[in-house]
Amino acid sequence: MGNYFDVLLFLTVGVGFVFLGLWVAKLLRPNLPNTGKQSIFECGERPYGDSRLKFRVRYYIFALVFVIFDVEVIFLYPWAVVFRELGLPGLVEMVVFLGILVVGLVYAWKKKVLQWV
Amino acid sequence: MDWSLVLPELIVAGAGIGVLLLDLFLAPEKRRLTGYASLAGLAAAMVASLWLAVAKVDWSLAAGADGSPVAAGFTALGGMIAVDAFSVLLKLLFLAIGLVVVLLGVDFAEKRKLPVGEFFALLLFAVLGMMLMAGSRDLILIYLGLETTAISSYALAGLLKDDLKSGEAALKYFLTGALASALILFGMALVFGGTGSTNVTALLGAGVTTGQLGGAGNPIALTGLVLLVAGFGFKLAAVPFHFWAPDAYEGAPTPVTAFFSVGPKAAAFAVVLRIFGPVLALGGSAGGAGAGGLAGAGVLGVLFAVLAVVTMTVGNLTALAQKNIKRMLAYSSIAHAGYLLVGLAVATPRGFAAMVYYLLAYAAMNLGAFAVVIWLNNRGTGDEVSDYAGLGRRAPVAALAMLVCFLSLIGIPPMAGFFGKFYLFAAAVEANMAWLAVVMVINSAISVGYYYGVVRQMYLAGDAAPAEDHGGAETGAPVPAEATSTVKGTPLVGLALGLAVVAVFALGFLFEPLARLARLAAGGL
Amino acid sequence: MINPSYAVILGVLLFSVGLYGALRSTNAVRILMCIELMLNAVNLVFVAFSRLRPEAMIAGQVFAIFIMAVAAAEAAVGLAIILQIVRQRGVVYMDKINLLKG
Repeated sequence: MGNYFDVLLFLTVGVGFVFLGLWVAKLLRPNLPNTGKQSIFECGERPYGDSRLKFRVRYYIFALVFVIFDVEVIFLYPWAVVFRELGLPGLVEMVVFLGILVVGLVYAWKKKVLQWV
Repeated sequence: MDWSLVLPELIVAGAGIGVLLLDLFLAPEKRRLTGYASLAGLAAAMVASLWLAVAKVDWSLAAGADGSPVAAGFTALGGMIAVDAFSVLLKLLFLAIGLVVVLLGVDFAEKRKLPVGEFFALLLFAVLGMMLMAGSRDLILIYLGLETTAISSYALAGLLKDDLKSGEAALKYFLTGALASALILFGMALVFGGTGSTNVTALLGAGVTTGQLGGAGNPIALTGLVLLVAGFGFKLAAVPFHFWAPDAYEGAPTPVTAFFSVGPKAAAFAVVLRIFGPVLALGGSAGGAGAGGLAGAGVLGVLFAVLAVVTMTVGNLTALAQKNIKRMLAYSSIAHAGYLLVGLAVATPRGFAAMVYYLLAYAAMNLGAFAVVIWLNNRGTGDEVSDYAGLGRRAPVAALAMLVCFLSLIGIPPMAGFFGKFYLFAAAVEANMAWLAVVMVINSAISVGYYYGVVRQMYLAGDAAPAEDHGGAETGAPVPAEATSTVKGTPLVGLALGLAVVAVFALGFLFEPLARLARLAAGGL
Repeated sequence: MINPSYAVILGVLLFSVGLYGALRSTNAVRILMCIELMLNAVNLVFVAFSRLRPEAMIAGQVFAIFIMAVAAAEAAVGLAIILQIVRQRGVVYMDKINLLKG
């Protein structure tokens, strides 16, 4: 249990330090709000538009296609680990799997999903 | 590994991918070809299934296993694929459903500007998932089949891209379906944790039947099974979990609705039979709810009995109030899920066999009813019950076919529906659950109310008022007026309707051999 | 090493959080996120169980991998459907999407 007391001490002091600093700063600092200070900080640029800006619909479809292909790669990892034991049948099966994915890609291509217009 | 054991699945998967590619490289006006390609693929898979049934299934084994809960069967892919009488019979049913839905869909897709290739490809993938569900004893493959069907179905429901109702149906179907999948998965995780295996046969030795909830035995696996009941309750549209079904059925394109009402539902019943059948039968033979309070299988049996009663009663009573025919048929299909659940509550081999037979009969009569709806819709009749007024004079053949299917759905001899219900009654009475049979009879009597409502409209009411006179813009999705005049005959829908009506009678007349077949299938579970 | 049963308990808690959120939200995207949380909780339970039961080690992990792949496909289809709804009506709130009822 002794070790855990150290952890607790660290936690208390660490959290306390943050709040103490904030409290002291609040006591000391002058309070002079103006619009420039309250606007969103964008690396010195003047911010424009709404923070909830709309992306083009095409962007989402792009993202969806990416997510699918990205996640299906998950099956390649366990396959690669035992690749040598599986031998030729394993290779053929993986080629078939990737072939089905390629069909999906061809479909997306022909449907002009991959074009950024 | 013997790949020929999964030949039907391979053919359907290949056909699905082929149809998708074919659609990409065909000129738009030739896209009907994808429908014919799908028909060819499904027919080839049926031939392959029949070949499997003759060459690979060990029928003597299934016959001998009449009393015993588990038969070894033929297995492939490390025990994942089970090629037995049950899986072959149900695969043939699913392929037949797919075939009829393609026939129903070709003209409809063209007229309502559905993306044709996607429609047929998704349908084939859904059928593939259903076949995997029926043909596996492994939770991993059952889950993959379930999701293959479910994900294709979500997309199918939303295929009418500019139709607000279609999108809404897809969204509701997706959200409840995904929630159900999560519940099923959690149930599977607990079953896996409780038994240490993803194979459902491991449940038999896991002490689920001796365990009490929160007591000795195997509470983890039992909790998992209860979660599976809830999850599959969604998929079956059993009553506390049914709220999505009418919305999804009403909004989806009508051929897709026809598919939903028989396909994924039958596949979910197949999985429930696979997972729960042996466990329930074991509990039933071991005394079940007898000594020591509610033993595990006793809990599950009671759960299924309650689900059955509530589902059929609520389904029938709500159907009475419906004015849209698709919605009415949705509630009717909920009620029929309730009848089917009786077989699980009874939990005897005869009960399971009755379920298998009822699935065949239900698929035929429900597809027939939807075929009439699509046939009329293609000719410009709306989907409200009042649109069917005077149909007996305007379209006597369609009205007669509808009448036959409704009589079968009510359960009038000599149609298939009667024999299905009769078989379920007999199983319930035999298992000393006559009260369930009585509830079924009362419910069948209630169901006459709404089926008769349509029949009265067709034969006794005056001619239908023009479509714009009743309802309002927001009810129904009648076909645009200019489209109605251009539609010539729809022979494919007529063919599907003919097949369904013939099947309704044939399944009735062939009750004797088919019941024996169902018995063999259920014996091998 | 941490006892795997804690992971099971964490998985059960996460699943409950996801279920609560999925049943309580009206925002379709949020419901989808909650369902994803439930699926990931199940993954955790599977992996933990396969640790607890050495004889079934591989099956649980394989199941988790399949769940991840399927969940991605499911989320993609779901988001596509939500996208279609947003294009049609501009809302994602389930209580505003109510053409079908009765």
